[in-house]
Amino acid sequence: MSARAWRWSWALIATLPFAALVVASLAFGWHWPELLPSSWWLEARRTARLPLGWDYLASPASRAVPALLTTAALAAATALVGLVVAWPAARVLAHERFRGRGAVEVALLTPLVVPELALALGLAVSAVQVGLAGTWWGVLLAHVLPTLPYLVRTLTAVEQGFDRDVADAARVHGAGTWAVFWYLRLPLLAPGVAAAALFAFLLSSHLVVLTVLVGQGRVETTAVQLFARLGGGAALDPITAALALVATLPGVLLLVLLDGVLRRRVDLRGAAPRA
Amino acid sequence: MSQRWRVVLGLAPALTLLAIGLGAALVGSLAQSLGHAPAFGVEAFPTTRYYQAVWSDPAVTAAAWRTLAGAIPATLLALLLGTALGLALPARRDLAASLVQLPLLVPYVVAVALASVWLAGGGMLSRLAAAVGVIDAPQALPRLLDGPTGIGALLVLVWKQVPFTALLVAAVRAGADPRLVEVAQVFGASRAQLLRYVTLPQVMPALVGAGVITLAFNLGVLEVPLLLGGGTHDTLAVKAWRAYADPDLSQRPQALALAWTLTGGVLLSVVTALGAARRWLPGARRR
Repeated sequence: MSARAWRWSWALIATLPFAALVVASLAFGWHWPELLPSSWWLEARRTARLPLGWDYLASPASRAVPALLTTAALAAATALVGLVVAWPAARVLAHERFRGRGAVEVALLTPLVVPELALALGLAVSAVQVGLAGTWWGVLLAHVLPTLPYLVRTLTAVEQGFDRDVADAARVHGAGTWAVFWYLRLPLLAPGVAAAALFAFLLSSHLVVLTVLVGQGRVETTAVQLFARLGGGAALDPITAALALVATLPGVLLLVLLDGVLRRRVDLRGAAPRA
Repeated sequence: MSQRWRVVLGLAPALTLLAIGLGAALVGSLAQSLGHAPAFGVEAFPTTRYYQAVWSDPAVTAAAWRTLAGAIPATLLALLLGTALGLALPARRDLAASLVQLPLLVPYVVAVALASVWLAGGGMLSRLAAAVGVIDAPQALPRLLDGPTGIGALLVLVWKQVPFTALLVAAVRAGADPRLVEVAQVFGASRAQLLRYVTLPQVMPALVGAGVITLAFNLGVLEVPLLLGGGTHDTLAVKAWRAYADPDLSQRPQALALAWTLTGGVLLSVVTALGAARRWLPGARRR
């Protein structure tokens, strides 16, 4: 099989399954072995006395809209806190030589090898003692931990792409710390930093076990709602299918955004000397 | 500012947060697993009785084997297919190369939802099989979810993780010196020789990294085996979760002892896998 055919097969495997999810979310009566539903949500909702499928998700009863807002707020805060904490560390790892560097690198990778469940159970126990259990802030702190390794790694690579000679040249010509940051570092690093932040945003929106255990069910995100509705090995009901599509949304947005961001990064690299 | 201070101040926020987070997770739960849980009427600190109970329970041993039997094939399959896909990704990304990333960008619970809509009894797969006349009842297809095979969980893990390996492999290839391949070709290397002696050693360090991260994740993952295991095929993570969620709160120390056993097992597996990779794989020793 040619590389192109193989690549396209995987593109289909990656995307095609979602078609069935879309159909399932729009179905009203879908009996085996029909390939497509015999009756659809759009027809049934005219006579239904209770909100069905997508209508139910939009209604206050499902709490799906507040959960989506919580997901976005939590993910944005996680990305922000993560950046503030990880960027300085990445800058050091990219540009400085120092003793104990290996130990620092390993320490920053530990969240990758500690199971999320073990971390979540441990944090849940301690969060109760300090009063952070079931709070938004407690969940935020919990979310930053698993994003740290990814942020540090990506930002270190981004920082390594920054040519310090350019900054030195600017300083020789009288640029101050602020000017170097504003006119050089920020425009040159922005695409990479944005990509890292977007990834942290996405990762936070995926976390279920940490959110459930530290949030004690009181901090409800879209992924948590989906987790609560799944299971039992039964075929999906329309509401769960619709919720799964909502949970897919951030990833699709990121795919579109990231493609734009990374293209710009390539262009910038071409413009930067030697970087 | 001296170099020393730049290093310390730069690293301090990340390391402090990590120390607080991991420290908090460690201290409270370790104490509880050793019998300090006055809130639930357990005060026997320090005792190893919960660990002893966990380790001598045949159900836990069975769960440990199931954890390994679920995680290792999924990891190897994801590495194999991910490498093949990564080598097929072009330097200039096209639409297909963008689309293959989608599984990486959705939560595991969405992948579980996809597995339900396709693989459940009466799901899309059985409808398609009926449409082409292979089966005439939803039960006629072997159970893919909840069954003893665990194939649903395997498919979910592999589907999610193939792009992860593929992107890492593609990134290494994009950064590698293309002249190496040209030189090998000039000297008449076949495609198989190119793969064996040039490409694989180039991507091996990234592959080992991807493999270790994937293995650690697959050993510890909760959502997938919990939602697709059907209640009869609990892994260690699922067992810990059930013990924690038990209405009998005195089960909590046991849940934490299970979680610590799982963590220890994951760390041990990671070290073993790294050691084995360094020992036997070409090119893995570098870095």
